[in-house]
Amino acid sequence: MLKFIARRILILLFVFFVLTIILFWMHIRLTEFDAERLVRDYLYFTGSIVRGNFGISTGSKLPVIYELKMYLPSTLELIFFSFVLSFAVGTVTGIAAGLNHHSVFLKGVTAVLRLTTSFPVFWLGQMMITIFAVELKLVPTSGNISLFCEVPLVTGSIFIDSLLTMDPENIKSMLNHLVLPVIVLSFMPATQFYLLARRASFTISEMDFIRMAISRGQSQFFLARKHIFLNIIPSILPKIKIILCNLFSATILVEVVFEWPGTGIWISTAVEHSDNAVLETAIFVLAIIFLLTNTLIDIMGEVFFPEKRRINLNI
Amino acid sequence: MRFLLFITFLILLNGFMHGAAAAEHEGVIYCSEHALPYMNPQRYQYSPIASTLAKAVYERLIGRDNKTGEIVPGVGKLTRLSRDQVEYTFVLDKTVKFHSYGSFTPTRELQADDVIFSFNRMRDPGNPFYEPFENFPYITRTETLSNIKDIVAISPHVVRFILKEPDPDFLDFLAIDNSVILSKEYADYILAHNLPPEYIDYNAVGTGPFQESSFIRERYVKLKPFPEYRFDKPMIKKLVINRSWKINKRLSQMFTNECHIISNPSASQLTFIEQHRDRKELNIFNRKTVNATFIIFNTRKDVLRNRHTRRTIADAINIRDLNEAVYFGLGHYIIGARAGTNNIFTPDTEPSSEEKLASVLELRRTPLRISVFESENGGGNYQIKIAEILKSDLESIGVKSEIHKYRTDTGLRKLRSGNFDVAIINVYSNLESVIAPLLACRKTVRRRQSDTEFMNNFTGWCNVYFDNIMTSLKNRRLSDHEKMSLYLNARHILLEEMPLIPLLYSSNRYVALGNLKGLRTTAAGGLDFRNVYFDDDKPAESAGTAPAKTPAVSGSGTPENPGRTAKVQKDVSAPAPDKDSTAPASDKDSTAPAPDRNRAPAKGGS
Repeated sequence: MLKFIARRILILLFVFFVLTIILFWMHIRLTEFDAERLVRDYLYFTGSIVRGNFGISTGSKLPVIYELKMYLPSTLELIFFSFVLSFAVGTVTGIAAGLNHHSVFLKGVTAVLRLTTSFPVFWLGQMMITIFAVELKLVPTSGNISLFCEVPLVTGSIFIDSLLTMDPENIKSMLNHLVLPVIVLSFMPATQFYLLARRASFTISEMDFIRMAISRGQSQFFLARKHIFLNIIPSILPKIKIILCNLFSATILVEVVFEWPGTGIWISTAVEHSDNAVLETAIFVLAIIFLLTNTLIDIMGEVFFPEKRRINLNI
Repeated sequence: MRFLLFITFLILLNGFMHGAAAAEHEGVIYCSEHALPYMNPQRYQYSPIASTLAKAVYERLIGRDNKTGEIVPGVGKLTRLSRDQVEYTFVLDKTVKFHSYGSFTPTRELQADDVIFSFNRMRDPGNPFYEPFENFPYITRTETLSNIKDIVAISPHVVRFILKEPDPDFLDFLAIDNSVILSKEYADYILAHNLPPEYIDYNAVGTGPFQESSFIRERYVKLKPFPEYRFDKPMIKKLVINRSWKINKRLSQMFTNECHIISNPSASQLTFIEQHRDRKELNIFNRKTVNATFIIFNTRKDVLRNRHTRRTIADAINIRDLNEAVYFGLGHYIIGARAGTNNIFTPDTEPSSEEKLASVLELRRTPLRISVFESENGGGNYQIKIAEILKSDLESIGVKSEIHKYRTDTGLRKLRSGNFDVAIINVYSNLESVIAPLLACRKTVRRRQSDTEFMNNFTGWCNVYFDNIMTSLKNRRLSDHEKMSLYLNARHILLEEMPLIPLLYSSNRYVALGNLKGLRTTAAGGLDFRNVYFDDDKPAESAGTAPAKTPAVSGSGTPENPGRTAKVQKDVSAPAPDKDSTAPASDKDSTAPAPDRNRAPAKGGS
């Protein structure tokens, strides 16, 4: 196991090296090429970005790290909530569908989920805004909190910051703004989780120990909870990486549609003003977060579900 | 895991349970498409958004009356002007208090030091907050600043500007919305705490009716009333200026109570808005801006060197259709039409048919490049529309063209290097004439970056006679008659030579909720929120009359402060009963002098 972890970390370091090379190329591509200084410049550049010194934004003339602290947590909380929601909804309905694969209702669910994923996420977001915000007036159309609410910037995540104010008005407004983007963002990963869980639990339900359990007369809920859920997790875990990857890119789009003040808006403004320092930072930080999560998931899979204890489901 | 699930579901339930925020009538949210890069109007162009910010948060040394155009006192009052017109002495109001910001609390009232600091940061390279001239885009001429020899404090409340030579535009410069007074004490605070000097442009410490409660660059400005403001305090408790990128979203936000005022809806939304206006749910305000749009020709190019080809292009454009299509017919012509002619650009002498034919044939040879620039201050969409109309107009006479879009900075580089054929540009100006700087001949021998007088002439066209007329028009001692004849001469040259096509002053359109009253527009086309309030009781009927809750006291001494007079509110807060009545309303309001005088040649012509 230690060997596996060491290998993962080595791969991580290699990818990190490639990433810094790309960023360094982005950084120097407009300047004159000077072979003598190249290595020294690269080391200096890498050293400073590792220390969190991302340079100065050409737009605001302030250190990029100031804005990063404000925008990144907003994106992460959006990703976090939609991941949790989609995982919960997707696996629960997926297991139910796998156990009752003849149910017409659950076939309908499959159809609806497949349909919603085939819409691009920005279009879906716009439609949801039109229906739930403009027509039904249930939720606001954009932003992460009402502009009248005064929430001091502590962590940058509006969820935590508004909870810290302990003001029910702020919390209410925050939840109100959070719900629609999270749902829109959750459709795609939920479908993927649903399909994975359905396939895996269907395969498992054909196995002898499940048949045994059924013949003992155990309820479906008990089966799902005790036998199926934990056994399909190792098969789903490696796929989470791909799902997260899609989630990261979808978040950028959803943020722009909902004007959610996260990295999506930040990047699009930076592109508009050709603010290279901001772009480099955003790419670097998002890539690093993505890499770290992937490595973490790999290691977690190895630690909690070692190879010999897995059921190979081939999904 | 269960806890996380629980929280997530709680959010979903909660979010849908409460519904959209109820109408809280304590604050106003203004959603605009304009960029909000700074809190300091000095760093903006002379534009609607800068004017909105400047009126809300800051005050000026002197101001201009919105109606009569006369110079009126601001925080200072012009008490003496030396006989040689180079020494301006101002006495400052002793009761002007500054806002506090964060941990900074002002300990003194406004003094001469603050005035000196506000202007010295723009002209004195030794000042720690100094920025080069280019970073104050509202100043269109270098001489304005370089002509100031010194600013001295005679006493803590008397300040004297000493100029090198008389400048007729100097008071205009002081009175423009962007020439705000900053706090020297706050600047010292920034230095003492080792904060970045840029903070002076991001954190507003002014003396205006609203003070900053938070500002996030390019996203929003949150303001609250300043309790120690000298005059009537604003009636709303919060004011938010929100940058909203998408035009469709802005309109839908009006119905979810996320915006109370929006700027510049698109043409396709207009019918919808008008339906709601008829139901008294929405109001529409139109305001002429100081944003003039020109089509300029690069006269250094072979095909455009001949004035007949330039005139052929101008003839092809139907400016009235363009006005209808782009500005809903509300744009104001920079040059008015002569009586009896249909086309505004009809020159006094008609070219012969051979000349016309020759120029068309010449134009057909190679496709023209039409350059448009994405403007940071909005209006960029208009330019692309204008370019498309120009393209189709050119196609009707058989001339091919291509539209090239550039970002503002690359575009400006291309303009300066003369790398364009035809360009559509936007000019914000408070100067006497908006055309003069665009066509000025090179005056100084030195060619420096900041030599704007020359820098702004991208056409490469120079006519000494035209230039002289423009210079002599600055002389204020001219009689109206003399001015008129000079205008006519200038107009004649312009239309004969056609180095640029003066199109229109754009019109800003604001849509506000029907129960929002007391909204005024500023000379630059921005909004003034000082007297805004919600009137829920009688949303439809009470419009146009002075509401009971409005205090009768007006002005309280300083004319720059727009007192809450009934007449003033009548002008803008009255919901227009039919479609056409919006135009007169805006005309009535647009008596601001500076932009009107920009249209000087128009007066001569029409």
